[in-house]
Amino acid sequence: MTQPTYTPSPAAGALVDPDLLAPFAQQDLSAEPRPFTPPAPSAPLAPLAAKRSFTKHALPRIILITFLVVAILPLASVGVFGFTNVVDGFTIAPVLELFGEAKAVKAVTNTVVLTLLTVVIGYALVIPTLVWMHLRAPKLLPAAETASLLPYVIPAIALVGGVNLVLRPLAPGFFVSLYSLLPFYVLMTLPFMFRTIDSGLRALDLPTLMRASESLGCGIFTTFFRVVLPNLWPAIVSGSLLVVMMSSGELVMASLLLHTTFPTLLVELGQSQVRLAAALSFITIVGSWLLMAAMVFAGSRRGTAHRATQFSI
Amino acid sequence: MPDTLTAEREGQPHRAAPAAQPAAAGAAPAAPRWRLRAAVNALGTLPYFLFIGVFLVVPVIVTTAKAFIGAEGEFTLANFAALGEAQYRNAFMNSINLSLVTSVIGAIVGLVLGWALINLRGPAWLDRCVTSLAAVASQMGGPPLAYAFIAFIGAQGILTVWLRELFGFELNQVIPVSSFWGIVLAYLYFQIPLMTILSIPALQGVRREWLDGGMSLGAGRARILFTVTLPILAPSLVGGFLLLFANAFSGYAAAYAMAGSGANLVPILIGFFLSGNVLVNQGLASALITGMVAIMLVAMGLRSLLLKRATRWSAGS
Repeated sequence: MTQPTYTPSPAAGALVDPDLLAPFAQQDLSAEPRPFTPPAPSAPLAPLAAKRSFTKHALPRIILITFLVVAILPLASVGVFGFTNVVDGFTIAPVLELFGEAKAVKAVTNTVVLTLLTVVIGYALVIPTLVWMHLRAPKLLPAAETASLLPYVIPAIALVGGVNLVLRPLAPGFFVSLYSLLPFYVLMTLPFMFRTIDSGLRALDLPTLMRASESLGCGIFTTFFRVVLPNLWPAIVSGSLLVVMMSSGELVMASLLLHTTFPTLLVELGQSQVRLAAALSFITIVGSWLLMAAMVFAGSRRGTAHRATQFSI
Repeated sequence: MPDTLTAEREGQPHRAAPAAQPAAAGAAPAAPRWRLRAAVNALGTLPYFLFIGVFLVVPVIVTTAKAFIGAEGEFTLANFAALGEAQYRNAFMNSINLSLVTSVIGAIVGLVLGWALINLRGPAWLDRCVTSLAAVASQMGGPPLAYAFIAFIGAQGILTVWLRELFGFELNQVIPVSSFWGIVLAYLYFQIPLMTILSIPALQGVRREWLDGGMSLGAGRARILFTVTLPILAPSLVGGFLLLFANAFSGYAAAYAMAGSGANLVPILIGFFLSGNVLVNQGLASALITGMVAIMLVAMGLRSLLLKRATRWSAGS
């Protein structure tokens, strides 16, 4: 299954091609008394070659196109299902009607506010800390990295359990507010923010930049805002797109800490108006695809297109 | 970072800054200057560690501790004994089964896809479409995924209606969307692309020299695959499998939106205990959470061990 990339180099034909074998044969003869015999007989050459070219050229395409078709089917059907009904065929009226309601507007506003604040607070925590660590306490970096990965290990549902059992009794008033979700949204996206900024800083040679900037008369804050931050900008932009995608789609904490966001609205609609929920799901999926495309585009200019998910770390 | 100084004095000294107290109090004039400096340096990282500590580590550790504490504050294992009841045991079995099935299938199919993506000598659009679709799909685990599958294979779903009208075949009775296998299908939708994305860096690390070297020694392709390539890739592939397992095990949103509280899975059960303000039984909920975190710790810990092994071969690539 796992075959290395194919390049039409002589080595592939070397099994059978006597001309190409000649140098090897001579070497082997010099090393061993026995004449070198090619391991594969030359009779099945033609069918073998045909089989190889099928595995090499046609098979990947067939697999990928099959994947595309199968993967698009549920997405297409959620679009069709969501925007049609038995009475009037294709319609976007229910969606428009929904967004006329205060409830839906509030859910969407909540999600937008939470998402933006998550990005801002997350980076406000991660960037200064990481810049500081790279400059003054590099020994703590491994510990900080391990700590940043904890939210992968502790599932959101377990964290909510801990919050409800431990933190809520301490500050019941705080958890009534929508903004009580922010620390947990920042935590959820922390592994990713940490990684993007950390790798961005590693590519910078920060001490040299700081010294150069200091020698030109800049203070530490001027250097931070006018030298470090602009250099990190591509990492911040492509990273924040994923943060937006993750925190705008988060359901567990919002619903179990009893707040209204877009995902909880979706689930609530799903109880009674499945088609409307499906229509909103379709819009969400298209939106996240656009975000992801923007991220791959932003990332490809830095040559890190493969850092495309939270898990590819 | 002036705010860290106040945070330090609030009685939450961090282990990374043990030298801060004597230095700040001026009680140690003999302390070398560099120790003060090191303390200040470590202090700058305090907000970060404090944030993770307060909002993540402390709640989870206290919850775990609560699982061992009985009604009168005594040490007890009764909460864990209660997990042996049929309902809770079934929830753990279901969750583990679901995670195993989706991660085994997801790992195999995802690997095949990754191989196809690496070996594609075809149109660039195909590569781009598959890559971006895989990136999006691997992130889908929430309500949109659930409604996509309800719209696809649900009772009134497009495929269900189509099969019923054309062949009179009741898909909904073979795989109800809220059943175990319905959830498996939905989970595979993000597990397969996730494995693809995880396996691509490993597959890119496969060296042509392994094949050439093996062939020059007279081995066939299959033998090289099983004795050279797969053993070298094994740590990253098994690591990917473990991440898939953890991913499925901790998933809540999709299963909840598809099956409501009807699915007897650990996360759904915990959610059921936590929803609403009143907790039925704090000890039992804590024990469930502890069990879940323990399984996650094992899976992710094994993964990080394996990844350390994997980097042995991929250094520099």
